[in-house]
Amino acid sequence: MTLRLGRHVFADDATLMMAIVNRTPDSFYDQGATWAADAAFARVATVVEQGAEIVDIGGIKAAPGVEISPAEEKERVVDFVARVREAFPSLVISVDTWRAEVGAAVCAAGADVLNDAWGGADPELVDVAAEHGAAIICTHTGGVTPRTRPFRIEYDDVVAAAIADTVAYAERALAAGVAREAIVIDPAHDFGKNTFHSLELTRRLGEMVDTGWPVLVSLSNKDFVGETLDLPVGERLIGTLAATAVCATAGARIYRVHEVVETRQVVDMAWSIAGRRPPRRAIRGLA
Amino acid sequence: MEEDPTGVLVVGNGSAKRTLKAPGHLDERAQPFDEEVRRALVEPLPAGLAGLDPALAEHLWADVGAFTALADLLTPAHRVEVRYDDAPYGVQYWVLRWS
Repeated sequence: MTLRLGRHVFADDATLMMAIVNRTPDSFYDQGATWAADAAFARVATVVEQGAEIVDIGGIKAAPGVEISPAEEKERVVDFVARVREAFPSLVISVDTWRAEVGAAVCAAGADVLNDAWGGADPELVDVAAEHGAAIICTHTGGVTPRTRPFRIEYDDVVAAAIADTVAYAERALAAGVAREAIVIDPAHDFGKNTFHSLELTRRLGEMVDTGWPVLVSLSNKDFVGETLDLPVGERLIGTLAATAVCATAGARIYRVHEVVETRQVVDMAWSIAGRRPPRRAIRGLA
Repeated sequence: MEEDPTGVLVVGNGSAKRTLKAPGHLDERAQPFDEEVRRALVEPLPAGLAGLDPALAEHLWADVGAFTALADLLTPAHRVEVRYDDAPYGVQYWVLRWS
């Protein structure tokens, strides 16, 4: 399906790199490296140079911690979105927020996508997306409260649960007036899930793709990779890329990543193996 | 339960909110709550186990529901062996044997 992400349209065979840009002092991977606005802006410039089509700007880390008010969250992201919008007009700007109030402010400042990592915790977020013509990412969290860790959550079938919840969310967004081609689903690895759940979601990602909704995967350096290989943050790139290859083979469209260059190569290779992308050049044995 | 059981396995755990990295993040009430449970288990204090605050336990993600049954089993006094008493991963666990 053709993707319409705010101002931007992508063909139905396009894969997209969504680079993570944290405006937080405490996110797990970078530990505040881009907390300052100028550092975050430099990160945007770098990932654009590396070929990222989307940046995903977040003002609150996912893990539990100091409560960040909507006002503080807006302080962190709204002006920054406006600055990125002005400097990079062809870049897709996504904002990682579950709050409708913040979503409205960032859309007014130029955001194209609302990435609701917390699975519809604020029911009015879809109305904001509809009103501003923004795209929305519908994630599965198993119904947990934002910024909580999973604790012995059980599913009869985690993939069935992820499909049921994300498709229901997508249909709710559609009913609220969000364009069909502006709705994306995300199984949300590690959110409301243990490592076995995230591995199964990866293994059976094709079932999510078969729903017909475009699928986003967010695998980058996550705990399910770390636990599977018993490696700390900072040593999970190869494991992340292995999971990425599996999801790309299954047909995921958008990849939320820390490492743009490496992920792009893996996704392109997997799509070419799957027969969805021609090789960049093919001379060998043909000249 | 059988009329004359040879042994009973009671399963539960203390709070899962013991540290910043705990499943439920840090709650300052978790450590004192677990200390109260520990004392009741180790002494043992059947009345203390029966009197644990279920609302606070639920809030602290402490699975102590089965400990109420334990209160009856531990009257009269038993000899106690503490085999494990720690909070790895921010969750308090005990392994105790009463005989």
